[in-house]
Amino acid sequence: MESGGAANSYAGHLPMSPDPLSPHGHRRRTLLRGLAAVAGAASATAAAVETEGPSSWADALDRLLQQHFVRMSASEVQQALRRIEREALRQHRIHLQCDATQPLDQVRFAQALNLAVCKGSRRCVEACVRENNCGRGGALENIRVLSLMGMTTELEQANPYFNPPLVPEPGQRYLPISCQQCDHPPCVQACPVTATWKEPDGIVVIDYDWCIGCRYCSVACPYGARHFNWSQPHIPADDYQPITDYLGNRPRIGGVMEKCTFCLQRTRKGLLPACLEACPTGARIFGNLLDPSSEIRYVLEHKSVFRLKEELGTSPGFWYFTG
Amino acid sequence: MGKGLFKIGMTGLLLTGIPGQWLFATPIPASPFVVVPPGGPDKCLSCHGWRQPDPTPRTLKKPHDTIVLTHWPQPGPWCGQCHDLKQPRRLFLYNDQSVDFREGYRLCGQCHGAKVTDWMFGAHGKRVTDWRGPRKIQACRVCHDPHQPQTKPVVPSAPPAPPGTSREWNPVVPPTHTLATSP
Ligand code: HEC
Ligand code: HEC
Ligand code: HEC
Ligand code: HEC
Repeated sequence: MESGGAANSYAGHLPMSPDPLSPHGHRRRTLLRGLAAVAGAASATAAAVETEGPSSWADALDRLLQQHFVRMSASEVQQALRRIEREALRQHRIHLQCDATQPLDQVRFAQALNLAVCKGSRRCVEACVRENNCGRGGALENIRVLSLMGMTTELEQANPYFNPPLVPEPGQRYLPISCQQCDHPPCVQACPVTATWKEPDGIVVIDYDWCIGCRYCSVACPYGARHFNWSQPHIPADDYQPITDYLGNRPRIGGVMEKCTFCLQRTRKGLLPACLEACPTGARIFGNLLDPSSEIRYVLEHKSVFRLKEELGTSPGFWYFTG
Repeated sequence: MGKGLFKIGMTGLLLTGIPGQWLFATPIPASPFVVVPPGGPDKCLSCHGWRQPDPTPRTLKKPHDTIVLTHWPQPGPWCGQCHDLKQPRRLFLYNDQSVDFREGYRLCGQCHGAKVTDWMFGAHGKRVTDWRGPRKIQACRVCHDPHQPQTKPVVPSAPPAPPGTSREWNPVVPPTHTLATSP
């Protein structure tokens, strides 16, 4: 892997993936879309419709033929968002609001985590699962709190399943780990269909509709931060987070990857990520790297920070420190 | 030393009670912040308005029987170290000033200067609501009872599903890699 290099070099590192803006794919999709409109119109009359707008069959076809998010026009994005809202109403009986929030100008998100203060209460995990509409039952959690005995830093030997009656346990250290939002994300390079990419604000996102579920990215990720939905996530309807985002916490189907997105549905609107809000100890620090007066900059400038597996050249946007 | 730096040194003295605390830590003053919850004077005067202050360390009776000082080993300095016994609604500072409960962090800063500096700049404690705009940060007492500041153990939230039961690591459910069509 190349280290150093140009700042926005991730785009140039995709020898295996098709160029997201290749006109080739576009033409094929547009053609298919035309066919879909015909088929959709035909089936719309047949299917029993309880939501306003196109039928479930037309929507399913639409989803199948939908363009890559980056290539969608503004109206196509709107169409996709409304479809997601209709499908949520049909399948889960919930009224969602789905947005496609744009990255903010002059913002580069990053997080730091104070290991001296983290007590392993897993409140962040709980909040993350709820905010991001992950399936319940602990099968898929975007944050893993590792418990490390003593001073070890061998992440492979750490235990994420610790469950004592009370935390912190004497002698244990806790290391929450989630997507490190790398500058050179190996997962993005591994994706054969460019379903995942890095946004200008530093967040690595997935187009869940474009993901083919091959799981190459999860193998490529050195942090184990990408998770696969082996089945349709199960969430009680009254426990859905209704404010969603296309690239963030909208309902996923079985067979697609997902990951931490720094809660972009919140952070791009100025709110803190759910894990920060839930943390009872204030161990997590979040902010804009480009703002010299931000908390994150203070931490980077005044604490001895380190990043996980830095030697791999991934250049994470997630720092750890103690003190 | 520039006049600006001198000012910052004085700010450090005023805010943390320790001269030059900021002077050496950083030349940038912390961006302004609001402490939440604001706190404020309790109704101490209804009793202490007429009670003679008694600085002798002892086990307290009602209404303060719940207050046990474990902040530092006892016997040691007592309530008067932090409370201005003559003005019960105010906290005592070494420079013979006293501050409102609302500015409790200035009291703490006299002995925990580095922590309070960190807190002011956002490296300790917790910012709430939003990551940009005016900073709202939690007061020390949200997490530390001033009388027993040690953090207490908590019950952890549920662990992830262990291997074998987890569909993530052990795909017992075949990937439904079809489109989820509506029912
Ligand atoms: C209901 C009446 C009452 C109220 C209200 C009250 N106190 Fe007291 N306080 C007492 C009594 C009585 C004692 C003496 C207890 C003893 O000797 O066991 C006392 C003792 C104290 C002492 C120990 C030093 C001394 O003078 O004896 C401190 C410090 C103190 N109070 C602070 C406060 C503060 C601060 C508040 C407001 C938040 C407050 N009290 C509100 C009744 C009260
Ligand atoms: C380390 C400094 C410190 C010491 C020592 C201390 N206090 Fe306090 N106390 C505080 C601070 C700070 C607050 C304000 C908390 C807030 O902002 O609400 C407070 C609040 C109080 C209150 C009102 C709120 C409550 O918890 O009920 C009472 C009453 C009180 N103290 C009594 C006492 C008594 C009695 C003693 C001696 C046994 C004592 N304190 C010793 C720092 C101290
Ligand atoms: C007069 C000096 C003094 C003041 C004022 C003071 N502290 Fe302390 N604090 C100490 C000392 C001394 C210790 C260490 C006690 C020990 O090691 O047993 C301590 C320990 C602590 C600890 C660590 C407890 C642990 O062992 O984990 C915390 C947290 C703390 N103080 C918070 C505060 C807060 C919050 C305030 C303001 C309300 C405050 N302190 C005000 C002297 C002070
Ligand atoms: C959001 C919660 C939170 C807030 C707000 C907070 N702290 Fe803490 N603080 C912690 C936690 C958690 C620890 C770790 C305690 C431990 O290691 O046992 C800690 C540790 C400390 C320690 C002990 C460090 C050590 O070496 O053991 C001191 C002193 C301290 N805090 C002072 C303060 C002061 C002063 C303030 C207010 C200006 C403050 N804290 C605000 C959560 C908080």
